[in-house]
Amino acid sequence: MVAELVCQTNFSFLHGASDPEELVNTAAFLGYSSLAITDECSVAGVVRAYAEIRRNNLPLHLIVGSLFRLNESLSVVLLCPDKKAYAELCRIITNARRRSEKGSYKLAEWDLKSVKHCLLLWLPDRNCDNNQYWGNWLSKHYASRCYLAGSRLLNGSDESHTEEVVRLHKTFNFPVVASSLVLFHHIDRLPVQQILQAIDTSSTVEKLGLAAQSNAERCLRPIAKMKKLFPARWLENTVSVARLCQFSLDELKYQYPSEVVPDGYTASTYLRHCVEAGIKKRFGETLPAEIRQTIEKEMALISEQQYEYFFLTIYDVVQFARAKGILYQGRGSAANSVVCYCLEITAVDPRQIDVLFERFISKERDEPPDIDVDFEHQRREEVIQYIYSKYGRERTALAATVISFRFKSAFREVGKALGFAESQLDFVIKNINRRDRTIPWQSQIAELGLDPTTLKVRQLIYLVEEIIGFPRHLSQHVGGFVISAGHLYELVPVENASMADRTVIQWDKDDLETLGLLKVDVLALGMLSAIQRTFKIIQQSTGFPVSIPFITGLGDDAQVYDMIGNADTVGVFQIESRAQMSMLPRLRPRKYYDLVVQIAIVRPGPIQGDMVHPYLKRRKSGTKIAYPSADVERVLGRTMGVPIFQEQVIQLAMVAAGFTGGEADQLRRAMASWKKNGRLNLFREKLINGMLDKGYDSDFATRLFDQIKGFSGYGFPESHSASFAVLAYVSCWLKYYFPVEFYVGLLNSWPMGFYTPSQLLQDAKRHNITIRPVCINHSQWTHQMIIDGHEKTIRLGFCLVKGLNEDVISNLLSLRPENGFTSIEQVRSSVCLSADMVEALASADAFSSIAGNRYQARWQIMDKQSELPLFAGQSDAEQLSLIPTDAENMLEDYASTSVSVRHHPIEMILKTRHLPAISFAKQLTDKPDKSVVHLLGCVTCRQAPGTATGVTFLTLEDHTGNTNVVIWQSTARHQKQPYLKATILQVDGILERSEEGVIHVIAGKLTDRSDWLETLQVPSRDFH
Amino acid sequence: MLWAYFHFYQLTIDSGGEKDNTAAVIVYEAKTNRVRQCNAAASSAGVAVGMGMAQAAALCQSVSVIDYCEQREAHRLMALANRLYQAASDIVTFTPDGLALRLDPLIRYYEGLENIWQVLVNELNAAKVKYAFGVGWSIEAAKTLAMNKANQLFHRNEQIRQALSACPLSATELTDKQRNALKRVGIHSLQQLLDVPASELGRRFDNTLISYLCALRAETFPRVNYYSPPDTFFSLIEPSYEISHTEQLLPFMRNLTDEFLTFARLRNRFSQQLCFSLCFREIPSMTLTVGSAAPLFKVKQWESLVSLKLEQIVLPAPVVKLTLQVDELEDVDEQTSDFFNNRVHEFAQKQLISRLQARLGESVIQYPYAGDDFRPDQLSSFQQNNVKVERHHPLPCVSLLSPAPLDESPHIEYGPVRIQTGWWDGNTVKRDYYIGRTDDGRRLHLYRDSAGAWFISGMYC
Repeated sequence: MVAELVCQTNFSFLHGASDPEELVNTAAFLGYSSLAITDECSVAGVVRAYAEIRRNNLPLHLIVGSLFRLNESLSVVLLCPDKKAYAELCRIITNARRRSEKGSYKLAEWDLKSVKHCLLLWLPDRNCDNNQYWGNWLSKHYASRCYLAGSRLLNGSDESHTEEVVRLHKTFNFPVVASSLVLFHHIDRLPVQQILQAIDTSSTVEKLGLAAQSNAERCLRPIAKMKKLFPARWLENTVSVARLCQFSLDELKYQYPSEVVPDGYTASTYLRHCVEAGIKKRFGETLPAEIRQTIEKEMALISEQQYEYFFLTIYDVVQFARAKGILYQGRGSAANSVVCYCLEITAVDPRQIDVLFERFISKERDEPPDIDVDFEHQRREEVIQYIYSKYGRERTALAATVISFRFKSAFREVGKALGFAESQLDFVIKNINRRDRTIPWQSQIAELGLDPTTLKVRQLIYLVEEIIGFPRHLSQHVGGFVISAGHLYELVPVENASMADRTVIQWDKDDLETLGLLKVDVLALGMLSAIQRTFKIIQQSTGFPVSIPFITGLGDDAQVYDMIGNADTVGVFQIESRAQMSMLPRLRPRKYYDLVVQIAIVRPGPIQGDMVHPYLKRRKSGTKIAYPSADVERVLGRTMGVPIFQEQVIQLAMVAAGFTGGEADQLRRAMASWKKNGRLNLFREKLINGMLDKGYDSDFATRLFDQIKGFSGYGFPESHSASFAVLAYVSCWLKYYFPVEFYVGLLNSWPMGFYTPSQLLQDAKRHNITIRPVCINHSQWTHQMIIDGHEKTIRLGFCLVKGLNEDVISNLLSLRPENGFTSIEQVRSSVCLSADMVEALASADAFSSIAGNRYQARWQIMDKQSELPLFAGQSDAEQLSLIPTDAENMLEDYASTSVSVRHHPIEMILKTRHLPAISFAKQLTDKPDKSVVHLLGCVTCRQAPGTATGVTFLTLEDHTGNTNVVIWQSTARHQKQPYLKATILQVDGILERSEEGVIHVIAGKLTDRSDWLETLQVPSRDFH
Repeated sequence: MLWAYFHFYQLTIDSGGEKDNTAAVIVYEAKTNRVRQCNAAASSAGVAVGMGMAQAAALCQSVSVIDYCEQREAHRLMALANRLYQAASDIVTFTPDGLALRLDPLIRYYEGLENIWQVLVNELNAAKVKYAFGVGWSIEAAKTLAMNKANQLFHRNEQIRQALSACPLSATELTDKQRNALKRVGIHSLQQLLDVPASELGRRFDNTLISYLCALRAETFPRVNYYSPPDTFFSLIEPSYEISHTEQLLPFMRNLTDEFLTFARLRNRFSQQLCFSLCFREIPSMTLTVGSAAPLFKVKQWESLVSLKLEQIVLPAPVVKLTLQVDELEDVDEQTSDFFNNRVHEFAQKQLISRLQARLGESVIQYPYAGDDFRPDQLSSFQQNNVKVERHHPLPCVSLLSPAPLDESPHIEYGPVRIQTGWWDGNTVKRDYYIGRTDDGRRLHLYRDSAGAWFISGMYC
């Protein structure tokens, strides 16, 4: 038996050249009894190795360890014999990482001295004097826990190295263990390792010279070869060391923070207490029996799975948000339970949605409960700071996200390392169409000047494919916190993130799931900010408090659904994109669950899995659907027999193909990472055979597998869609009943959502809302709703003006006289505004009420002489009598505020040109289907979605609305100039109207009309 | 005063000598990701100056891209100035792509503006460059008109005034900041700017703008450095075909040498070193320094040295351009001709090396070097510095040109050293190297290939 005790995976970034999975599989195949994963100052790869061993039941004992370089002369590997040693290792990695910038580490001698439990493998240096010094040092601090690593790498230094190891063994009496110092699992990976080294050193592989590996001996070598290379004693010692290392990641037990449970309660009783209080709040005194039954069922499941602390931790966080008035909404597999509704984690009323808790938490599937909580995006930091202050920084850190090589980064880096010119690589990357599934990238590069028959290009293609998916570095998860009872660094190493004051652990979401560690997702959602602001404005103006439960409690509102069905959804949540808007009139949602489907259906998963049209067809025809079995009906019944949600696919695998809970969980994970590792194909046979065994026909089985593949990576869970649908409905309700308040709330929460402020304001104008420009005497920092008689209008705020600072403006507002400023001079003398800011205000025409037009205002401001003490107060300067044209005003508006409330460019063009043939967005409804139409509009959006090969969707905006234009690839290719360059475009095409009234124009001829706007700019005025 | 300004808006493209007018060519500046110049074919495909590379490539996939190099344009501009210097003396260059000529002193000399103009136009046409021009009462006025592509020869001030009035501010030399400030008070054209009283502008802008406007109106005398032909020599030839054989280079190098000798003779100077550069399309250029211990004044004398030099080199790629640069020129005096003045009689190795270095250039003297590569058969390289590289395993003193099969059974003293690398250049090696001692006491550098066959690759002394 042989154990390999030094092995680096590709989580030793740009050094190791094999996945942890490949390494453990190969080690087991070759017959190694144990394998230590010893990445450099990291345990990031360990969990993957652990999961792979568990998944494949490999007969391999995994040892956790890490390699460290103290300085030029000392390299050691620390191995964990037990849990204490593991905690120690995590602490040392944490200390070394926290001392240094993100991505690097700095080990101190003290760190090694403080090690009391880990075993140490010494990798001796070539310099005998150094070794003598460190030998003495290690004898002193590691007397019985130190081993010498003897390696034979056939690189010319074996003889001297072996002699030195033997000498050290004799001198210090440290046992010697054999090692290949593994960097990859198979000799074929040598080129990959060398390329990674070249990338790491910003060199080319050709220039690496003697610094590269001279051969592939640092792979997992066959046992027979090991026996030939090393003395038997050295090999036996590896096994003895491995036997000492009994620590397993199974032992890691997550301890929830105890402060969420007050004295006198257990977690269970406190959760019960909170739920009961919530029941009273949510349901009053009369709780329907069936809901009580569901709650009890959920509580029993929570108790059985011991999830009380998890629910209480989230409850604690949302209670904080509630107390601070921060709007939030929970989503995820456990979030839509009645318990979460009672704990006020979510606002999805179980009476409105037929919630089946098993649908979300499944005991059989043994998944950890998933609750993500979205908070107002501009106030999430308060929640994060609360978590840090409550649990302390030593017990809290963000989960990591492993950033892997993707096509572009792999192509660029590998290309550079092979010696290709950077400009050439950039050119290829910019021009390669990764979405073109008809021509793979390998063929496309030929057209871009890289001849795939040459050796270098063949190497480039091979190595890029090898390296895609390799981890590149760790980054921070968007908001997944791991909170522990004790010091987190005893559970997992913590390192610095690039963001100041943020720390991340070395494991990502999947690793945490594997080990059953729980994370709390604290995410940011712009729409919650917008909704909260809208609520506040409504309360201020009406005195009536509106809230999410209030709106959902009113039940489905037909008028709101009419608005949704007409795709009048600019600015609302989720169902606002072009694709969603063109689907709305087809699906015509009439109730809450329709929205849940609507949100999930316009996704790459269902679209690529070809599920959209069958669903729409069945929904429309209302015909009775025949299900192959009652089980399948139970799963697919609510979506007309078409799998739309990720959960349905998993459930189908369980009920129709007989997957166990564990297998279904594996399937779920394989789906998530199918594109990366193709593991999903392993399930094909099992799934199809399982269904055939249960009597389903092979057509159904194959179709289901294809649908699963289509879902991979893009499937949308029902549990998330259900929460999103609440916010989508609430935002639609607000848009319908309180449009002015809603637009103001949205604009004040920007940046967020799909549309720019300019597009939102154009939409507001189309809803006959008056918009008043920024004014020095009327505006506030934010946008305001102004009630003018009976009319509600929007007054734009200073925040829109580029180059202003909120503090300065609040100072200005505090000094603004009651009747307003009367001159620019007064503004400048009373408020300390920089020249740039005054100019910015002038450009935004904010002085129009006191200083004429923007040109005159700027001319006054530019006068430096009047600022000088001697000339102060003199205003004999000649006035400029230029008056901006409407077009100039519009351009200036766009330049200074990115919006123009006065004129739409198309409106301006119409003033100077007679264009009888042109149809505008509003007029298209009167045009017959298949008629030829001529459109003119600003190009506001060009989208070439991956789900529609070769088609570009273009949105043309005119003063009456937006039009969706479809441009086929051939049309685009033949009319590249207008297609790529035009900002104002004329489209001559054919109007297509679906039965539901959705209008698309299929482009024929494209004409760039941008010059029509430019000619408007020609001034024709003189100084007088 | 009357000035003409020529703006060579596609100097790099013109320097390349377009073979095929239908092929789209752009000059691209990577630093700013901007197309700097484009020929007519590229323009008709929709490519415009100022675009990014991605958009240009998307509009015209077959476009040829030339990297922009300001220095190259500046050289070309100097060559043009040199050419025009034969016809006009008051030339001011504006690197990289413009030059101004003072016309008024020449009118009498050439008996009329039209005549001098024709001479200049002929020269520029002969140089095959495209240009836009302007004629005005000051350099600034002429330049503004040229940038606005006025392309008209004005005789009267009124014509100039009218043409200037029509110019947008973008044609002037105002800074982006100044232009932007003026644009945002509605001043877009030069006319509008000139109509603003200077006192008003003075309250709002610094002196540079006022000075510029004064210069534009020719209210100030231009303070410029006139072009004078350089003291050092530089010339280039871009042959119309690519040269693959060294003997074909000789006539071009002779022409350059001749050009230089004429240049030197006119100044009564000489040089002992000619520095040629051979430029290739893809790889960096090669410098050929031809030195002479004594001053040489005849083309033939130099030619024999140049041809000797050429015999020693192998062209790595076809030559697309040759340049000759002579920076160190000395005055001719009576001492110059004594060839034996500083002769050294000691020919110790080091002196020989340093003398060879002095005469042939440092780069041609090289030391044998065990290269930075694991593959022993890739080691017979040379380097300029005599530095040793530390290696794990001792290399043989004699390396066989091609390995010889081993037909005896030497005793293995050292090894194996496994070399399994070199995939990147197609010379992948997978061998185990050994040092073996034969029965007669020779030490051999041996290897065994992946098929198990044994070879001798070198010998130890």
